[in-house]
Amino acid sequence: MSEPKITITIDDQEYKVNSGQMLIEATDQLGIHIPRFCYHEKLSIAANCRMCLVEVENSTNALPACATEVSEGMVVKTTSESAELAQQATMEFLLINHPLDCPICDQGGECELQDLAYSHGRNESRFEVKKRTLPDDNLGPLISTDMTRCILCTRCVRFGTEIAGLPELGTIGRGESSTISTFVEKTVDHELSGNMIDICPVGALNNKPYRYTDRTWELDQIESVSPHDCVGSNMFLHVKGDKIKRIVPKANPEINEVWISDRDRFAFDGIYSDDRLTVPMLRKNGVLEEATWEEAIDAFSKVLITLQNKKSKNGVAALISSSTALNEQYLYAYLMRSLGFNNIDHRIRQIDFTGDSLDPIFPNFDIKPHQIENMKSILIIGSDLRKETPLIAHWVKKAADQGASVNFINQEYSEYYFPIDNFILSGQEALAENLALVLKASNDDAVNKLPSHIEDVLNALPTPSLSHYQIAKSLANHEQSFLLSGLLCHSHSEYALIRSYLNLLSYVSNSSFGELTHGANATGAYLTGCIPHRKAFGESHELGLNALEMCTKNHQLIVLYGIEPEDCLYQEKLNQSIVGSQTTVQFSPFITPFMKENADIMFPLKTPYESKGAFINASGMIQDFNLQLDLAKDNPSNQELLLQIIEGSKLPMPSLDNLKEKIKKFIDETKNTHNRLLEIPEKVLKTTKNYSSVSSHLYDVDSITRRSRPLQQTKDALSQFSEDQ
Amino acid sequence: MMHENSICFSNINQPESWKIENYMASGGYLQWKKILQGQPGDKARQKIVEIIKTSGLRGRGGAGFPTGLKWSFMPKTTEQKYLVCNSDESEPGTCHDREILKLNPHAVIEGMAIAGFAMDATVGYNYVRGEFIKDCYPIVEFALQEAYTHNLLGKNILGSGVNFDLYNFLGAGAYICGEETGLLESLEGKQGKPRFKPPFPAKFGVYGMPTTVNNTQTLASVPKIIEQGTEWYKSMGTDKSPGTNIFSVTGHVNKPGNYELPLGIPFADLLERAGGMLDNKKLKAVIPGGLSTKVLPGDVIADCTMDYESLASAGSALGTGAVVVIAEGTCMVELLKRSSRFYYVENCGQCTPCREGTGWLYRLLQKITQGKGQESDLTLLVDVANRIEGNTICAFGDAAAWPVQSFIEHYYSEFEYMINNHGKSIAA
Amino acid sequence: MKILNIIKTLTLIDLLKGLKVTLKNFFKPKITVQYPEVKTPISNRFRGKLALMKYENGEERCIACKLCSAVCPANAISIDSEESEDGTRRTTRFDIDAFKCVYCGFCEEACPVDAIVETDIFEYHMTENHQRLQTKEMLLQLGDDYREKIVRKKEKDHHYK
Repeated sequence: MSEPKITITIDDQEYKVNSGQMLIEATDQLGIHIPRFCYHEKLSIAANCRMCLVEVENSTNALPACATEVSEGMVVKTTSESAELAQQATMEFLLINHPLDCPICDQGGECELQDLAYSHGRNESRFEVKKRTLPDDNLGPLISTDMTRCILCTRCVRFGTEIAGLPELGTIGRGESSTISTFVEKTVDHELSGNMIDICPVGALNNKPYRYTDRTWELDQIESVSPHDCVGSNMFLHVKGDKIKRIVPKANPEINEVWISDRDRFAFDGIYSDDRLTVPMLRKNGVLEEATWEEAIDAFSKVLITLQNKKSKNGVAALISSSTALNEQYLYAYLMRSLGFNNIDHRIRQIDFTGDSLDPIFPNFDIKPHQIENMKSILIIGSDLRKETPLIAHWVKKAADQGASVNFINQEYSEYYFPIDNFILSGQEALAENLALVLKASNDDAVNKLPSHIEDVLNALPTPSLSHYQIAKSLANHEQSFLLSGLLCHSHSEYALIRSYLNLLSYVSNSSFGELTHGANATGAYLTGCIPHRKAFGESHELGLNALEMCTKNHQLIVLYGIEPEDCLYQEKLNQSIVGSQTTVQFSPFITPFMKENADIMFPLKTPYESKGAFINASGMIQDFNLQLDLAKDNPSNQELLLQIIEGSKLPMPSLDNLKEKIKKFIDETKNTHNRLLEIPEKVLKTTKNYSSVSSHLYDVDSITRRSRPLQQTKDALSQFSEDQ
Repeated sequence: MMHENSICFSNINQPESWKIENYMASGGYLQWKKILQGQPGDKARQKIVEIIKTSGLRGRGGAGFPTGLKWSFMPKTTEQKYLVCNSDESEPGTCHDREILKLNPHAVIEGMAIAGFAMDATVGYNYVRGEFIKDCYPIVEFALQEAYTHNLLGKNILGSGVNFDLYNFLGAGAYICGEETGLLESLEGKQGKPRFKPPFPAKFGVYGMPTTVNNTQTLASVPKIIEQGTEWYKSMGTDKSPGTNIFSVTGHVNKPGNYELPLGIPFADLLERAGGMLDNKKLKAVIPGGLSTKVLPGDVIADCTMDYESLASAGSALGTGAVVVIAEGTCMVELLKRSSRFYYVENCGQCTPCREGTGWLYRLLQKITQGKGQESDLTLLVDVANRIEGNTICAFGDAAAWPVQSFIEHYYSEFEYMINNHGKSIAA
Repeated sequence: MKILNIIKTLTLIDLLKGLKVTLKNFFKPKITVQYPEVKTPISNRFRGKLALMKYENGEERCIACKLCSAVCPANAISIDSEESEDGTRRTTRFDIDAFKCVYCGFCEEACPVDAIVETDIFEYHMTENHQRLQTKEMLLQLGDDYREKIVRKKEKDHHYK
């Protein structure tokens, strides 16, 4: 892999560098700083800002380091008189039409132009005529513009064409009247477009909700992980006092490269919603009113102990969100199981549970997100990928751009900005069949043959079409192939069958397999035992009711942890169950009118933005988030709250020591032996009820995004609203 | 003089010289047919490149790069290659390509066919300047159709197995599209913004494929050179600048126009052919190669011969051969202001120095002509021009800087006078 | 020696010597003033209580750039800001903690729009702890009330800056 090393001289010192790279890449690796604006490591080279000009021996002019390839014996001077003169010239030109509004510019303090103006700018301006000004565009609710500040580096334009795949911004006009603009009053709507804010080296594109609120030097930076999808994008929370002000990406080349989705960036606004619950509520004499923590915990513990004594195992329904932290899931499962209650589940967007016995110990990707880029053939089933996991879509786009064959089987067509080989548009009822046909086509000339009883099932199917054969062939021909099951599969009435077929296909075609899951920590929920058929660490256990069964019954006690009925695929059923149950307890950061009417005890939760914990992403990578913001300072953390309830319920205190390490070890041990069963479910659930079409709204994935004002004003959210009407 | 109008303009005095019959009557397309009827293989290709190399033909687009050498840079691979004719003639003062396209379009087509064959480029584009839409483009289109009807272009031409398809492409009227990579971008349907070189078009040209871009006049010279041989060609002009060049003489002369003359003729001769100075005024200055070359004072140019080397040693360049003659009594400040405005309006806006610097230059000159100038503005002007020069992707930055540098160098006193006299010109 | 001392003591010469100093100073011009009835002159650069200024049309000068709070060595200034209705950057809170302020004048020098200025007011008091916070309204009021005085003071000092 290692390329031949060549020797170049930079500032009188010799270095060995790899050939084939640009000078600026070499200097960046060596830690030699060359100023730049238009160059960005993830974007193509434009060489238009002329800031990175350096002196190269035997060249009459200064050359741009970003577009000059290193060559053997090259002698470069980055700080010589002529290099500095050229850089200063560029800086002066950039500044003549740049407004002097740094005091009100949100980029002030983190502005590349400002920084370089200190090192390369003149003390006073020689430009005496009027500066150019430009009108601002309205790019939508997420990005604010001050086009006068634009230095036309075209990073945003290249981001649109190369990373997002959707060229939403472009240059218009020529010469001095060049501007960056959308095509005739459009807004910027791509789900990754917020990254333009970060790549803009000046204050031309900025964070709209953050506009004019704080200065960068006032903010503390805290590492965190996105709680909105199963990718686990790394990000930095920028916090002032105890308030999150904005979120920026944290580079992680294995997960999110240097990008985050708009959902991860702007959703946090939801935690400052007006309907935030900050004190416990208790129903006294038919009225839900504020209570002390002791009162509420006592009341809940009493209910639990009474039901435990009554031995009414099935009288209790315990639901938990798949976006809660690992330690909370563990304690919640511990609480319920120790009291003898088996009805615990997190799969509130799943309707087909017939394949529970075939469930893997935990759902996960065979590969890490970044490895998708290396795949040569990808089949995606039942997924509106861009909306479900924008960053997985990004990796798939990267693979497709490098020539991978990408195929879809989905019930509706959505637009992708990369080449797609086959798109099998299949009705919901035919999704499993279409997949089976690919499997059938694959089995025809496969090395790994299927068991005969499964072949019999396949033989009963009609002949596969050309597309099926093409997909099968593409998967078989490439060693690096990948099957991805989307969130629509989860909500599908034949989910178990689809997953079995995928397992079989993965075996037959020797492909990697990955399953997208709802929430940020569904893997954690499986591993901590928040499922009715297994305890923590995959130990099998007496079967409890699954989420759908729980929702179709009335109970003596129903507990919702981190869940709002709106999160549930069968919201109506859950609502009825809540109304019909004797006692309803909700742990939630928010209070809705419905719950106010029906809940008996409510505990305020801290959101993942405000608490400490860990998520396991779809690839089984455990990631900590370590922030403790205090919205209501005296409130206990979620973990403390659960421990107090456990204590109140007279249970032995569980040990949380090394929980993370234990789980990590368990994942490492089981991942390789993680034998996916070559079996299909005995019973196939067929319902006519169509649930799955509602599952993929970009900005309706959890209670926080639903409440985020900037996200709810986006075109995506508004179009969903009009659909619902 | 015996060599007048001997190459590109050889048949323009005939009636309807643009028609294929007339072109053929004077020996046109004979060379192309000969190539096709011979053994059109790699040897034949090699031979043509060799002929052009030995003839010493240099690109007439401005830089004067040896054409044969440029052709030999094309990779000898089997991938799709392209030939592009740069007829986006927009350099102020230049108008010879228009005349070639109007009066002798088949010479260009034949030249392109031969060049395309020599480089194994099976597709050619003729990028015609947008402003030529009315008088020139219809003729070029007509000529192309004629060439196709006579089976001189297309697939398997005259049964020889040689393919060459030619398309005309009309630009939209941007000066910057005359820069070869800007032209390629424009040809691809993008904004005409020059690309950074390297990679050069010979490696990464139109649609990312090897491409050679030649000027109209260069390509139109090819058939004649092949017909008459290199010795004949080299008998004209000087050693290092052989052949003829079309000089577009404009400005204060009695007979402005295009003159195809051997390179190396003394400037005085050229001036005489153009009818001498208008109103017998004294020669003040000459811009010898289009607006983008440096101005030369009258006494300097008087000793020059019109070829690449002589003008280069005098501190300017032959450029496109557009000779702008300036008589005594012309205000050099106004002239510079006007030319600066051209660069201010025509730059592509891609790289910083041109985008910001040209406007600054123009505004400074505007300030001086309005009588608000200060002595320090002159140093600033030169300084800004120096900061643009050499710092841009293409040569546009240099072209914008050179007039400013040379005008102030040679006519400092005029600028100074205007500044001290509140905008009054020394020439008035 | 003894006799000389006795004479000195008897004639009260030392006392008279002392009285001479008293007498001399009795008629000398006085340098103490009867504060608070009489006040000493104040330098144009005197650094007193802080005030916020407005433009002549009544618009607030402050643009919430927070440079003053950044430069403040005592962390006395706390500012919150947001986009105002007319799209400009404005403060929603501008508090100066009078207990923390050390009257160094850095804020005035950092201000790019001359919004925060130091008046020559140094006589003020408070009786309750919470009164130490000078809010935006109070600071603007102070700027309005002493506008002429402040402008005069700054104009005089202008040449030396």
